[in-house]
Parts: sequence; C-alpha cells; structure tokens
Amino acid sequence: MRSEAVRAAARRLLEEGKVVRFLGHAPGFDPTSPFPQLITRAEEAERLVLDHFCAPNLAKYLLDYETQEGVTAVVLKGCDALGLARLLADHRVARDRVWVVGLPCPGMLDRDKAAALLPGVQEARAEGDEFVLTGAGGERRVAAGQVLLDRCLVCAVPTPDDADELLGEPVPGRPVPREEDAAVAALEAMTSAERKAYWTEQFSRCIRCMACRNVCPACNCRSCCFDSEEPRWLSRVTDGPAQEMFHFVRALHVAGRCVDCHECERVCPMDIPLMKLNHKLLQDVEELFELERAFVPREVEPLGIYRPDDPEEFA
Amino acid sequence: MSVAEREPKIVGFLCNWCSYAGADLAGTSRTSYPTSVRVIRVPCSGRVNPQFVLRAFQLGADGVLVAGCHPGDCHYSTGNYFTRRRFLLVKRFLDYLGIDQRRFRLRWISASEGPKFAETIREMTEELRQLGPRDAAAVEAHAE
Ligand code: SF4
Ligand code: SF4
Ligand code: SF4
Ligand code: FES
Repeated sequence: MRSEAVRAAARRLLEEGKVVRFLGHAPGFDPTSPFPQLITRAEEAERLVLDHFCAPNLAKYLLDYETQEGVTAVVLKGCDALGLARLLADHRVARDRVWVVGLPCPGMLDRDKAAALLPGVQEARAEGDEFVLTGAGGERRVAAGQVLLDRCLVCAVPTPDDADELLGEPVPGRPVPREEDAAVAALEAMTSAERKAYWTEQFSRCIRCMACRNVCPACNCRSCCFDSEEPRWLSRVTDGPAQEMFHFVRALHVAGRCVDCHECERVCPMDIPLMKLNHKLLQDVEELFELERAFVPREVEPLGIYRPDDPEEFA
Repeated sequence: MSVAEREPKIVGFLCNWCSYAGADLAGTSRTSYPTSVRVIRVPCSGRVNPQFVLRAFQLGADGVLVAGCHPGDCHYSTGNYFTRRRFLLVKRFLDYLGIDQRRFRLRWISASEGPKFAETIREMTEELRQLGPRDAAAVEAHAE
C-alpha cells in the first residue's frame, strides 16, 4: 500500500542524519502479521513494509530508546498518534526526540476476519469501499466493513495531527459519533450475579502473558505494580481473585488515560474482551466529569484533577 | 452459625483527622451500633487505593466503607476531592464487575459526627443483611 513511500522516507531521514533510527514494520512469519522493525542504516530500508495489515502500534517502542542518544523516527497511524500523545502528556517521551512519519490511514484489516473470508490470505488492496484479498485460495472481493478492525470502523482520527511528515494526503476525519457502546449496555442490563459470572468466565482464560499491558501506551509506568514483590499486589497463581485483581487494576490504572486504540484487545491471545472494561470506564469518565472525547490525551488527566462541584453521591 | 444469621462484615477505611475521630466519639459517647465494622485508620481518605477496596471484598468483606472529612475540610485541603472523583468511578466499576454497588459506601463524617458514624454503620449493616453474604458459597466453605 505505502511500502515504497515508507522505504523512501526511511532512506532519506537516515541518509540526511535527521534521525539515527527508524521504527517501522517488516514482514513477520506470516504476511498478515507484520513485526515491528527497527533500522539504523539507509540500506536496511528495503526490509520495511506498510500495508493493510500493519495494525501494530509502534508508539510504545519509543520507550526503549528513552535513554539513548538521537532522534527516533516512527511510523504512526491516527490511532497510534494518540498513543504518542499519551506518552508525551505523561512526560515519558520528549517530542523533540521523535520524528513522526504519519500515515493518513485508510484502515487496517483484522487478520482473523480476513482469514475467515479467504483462508490462506496473503495480501490485501483497497478498491473504493472494498478490499481485494489474495492468497493461496485465490482472490476475493469483500466489503470494507466485513474485514476492517473493529476500531477502524469507528475511527475518528485516521490522520495523525502532529506529524512531521505525512505519507500521502490527509484522510478526512470520519467523525463517527461514538454510539453508546452496545456491549457495555448489554452487560449493564444484567444482574450483578450474572455480571460476576460473565467476568469470572472471561478472566479465567487469561494466561497473564502481560501482552495487553506491554502494548498499551497508557500503561507506561517505569515500574509496574504487577511486578512488585513487596507489596505483592498480584499473586502468581491465576485463581479467580487474582485474575479479578489483575483486570480491575489494569483497567483502572488507565481510566481517564486510555486512548481507545484497542491494541490491548487486539494482542490478547485469549480473546478477552478488554475493551468492554475500557469502554465502560471511558463512558463513565465522560459522563461524570462532563468531558468530550476523553480518549484524547489532555494536559491533566481527568483523575488528576477535581472540581469542587463534582457530582456528590456520598454526602 | 448459618450464613443467613451471620453478622455482615464491613471493612471501614477511616481518615485519621475526621472520621476516625468521629468513630472514637461514637465510642466515648457510648452510642451503640452493630459490631459489624472492622476499622482501618488511614491518614486521609485520599490514601485509599481502589485496590484496597477490592482486596477487602476478596478477603471476605460483605461491605466496604470509606470515610473522610467533608469536602473543603480535608486536613490536606484537597485529598477528599480526589477521593470523591476516584470512587465515583470505582463504585460503578465494581458494580460492572459484579460487586453490587450497594456494598460500597463513601461517607463524609467529621470529628464531631459520632452519631452519623453510628448511623452509617447501622444503615449499612441493615442493607448488607438484606443483600446477604457477598459470596455465600465461599463463606460456607470457610466456616467448615
Ligand atoms: S483506528 Fe483509524 S488510524 Fe487506527 S488503524 Fe484504524 S483507521 Fe487507521
Ligand atoms: S493479553 Fe490477554 S491473556 Fe495476556 S494478560 Fe492480557 S488479558 Fe491476559
Ligand atoms: S487500555 Fe487498550 S485501548 Fe486503552 S490505551 Fe491501552 S491499549 Fe489502547
Ligand atoms: S484528611 Fe480527612 S479526607 Fe483528607
């Protein structure tokens, strides 16, 4: 899709010495699952790809170079750029140490949806409102809505607004008003006991791989309570209470700071519906504290301030 | 004792400057109230990490109370405003995870409000009695 453009940008930036390293994507074991790729020499630019399967958000990797010299270039989509905004607002990354190569994003594909529509899918190209999938199983034309990631279906910010350069023309915002999240509403309609049973079942599958934490731009503490030995917040066993504690804490620690990028849920190998937790908190933050688009990082996070006239339910 | 007649267990996180003194006043004035509450003194209601609350529930509390100075009266000026924001959210989130929000209370109780402390415990105990033990199965298992 934009592989040539990203290679050219990497070559130019590294040759000119504008940046000392470039973070992009490269083919993984499977073309529908690209890896993050760091390169430091212009010759390595050939390795990079940028296609409709480049869902991984690279912003969090900037923390790996926090203590190293020089500017890091990074390829970011609209949603990824909110992740960078999070890191900037949290003072974890300095803006002048980053060169943002923004992708005005046409939407990324959900590899599971794509594989279900065309087993053995290897590539995808956009044609209007459709995608043409190709692979060992031949070719298949599908509607964008069938194959895009859930987050892309409601994406409000496809073009990074703080990019140093853009790979292509800005994609006009698709200001889809976020409807009351039906999944959250369905859970709210249950009884307390049903919700308890629902979450116990969901959490019981969690293998505590920490992928959700590791990928999350809001989970960016230098030391994490889950790794603490003393006090030990999280026992190593994965029984009901420990799983509940883990998920309660993970979601609450990003409450009011989550950028709604869906990365945690995308990377979860056990398909735990983490966005149902994040969306609940996001909705409540907006409603209780009268905020709009609370997923866009702001200077002070909603739980880091108060208003004397906040709702008084406690008296 | 069967589950039904068991006294509810409340863990109360009381701020040192107001609510703990309020509870103390209830005691020294010989106000009677149910023996259901286990008090944990904290320097400020703002010290109460939501993780404490969940942990209390997980370790067998049927209800959790957080109490602090009235808004505007916090010993550290603004601690309780942050507490209020935080627990507006946490109360709903606990409920969303299946811990009925009636089991959690945040109350502003000053050092002179001994009767209010006693009343809060009475009310809460009554409500928890009606709700029943949080996890009846776990309580039975524990009792055996
Ligand atoms: S959420 Fe928006 S910016 Fe992110 S991948 Fe989807 S369309 Fe692109
Ligand atoms: S990514 Fe999924 S399985 Fe891994 S720790 Fe997070 S929720 Fe659990
Ligand atoms: S909690 Fe999930 S959706 Fe929110 S910022 Fe973190 S990775 Fe993104
Ligand atoms: S000192 Fe009592 S609430 Fe802060």
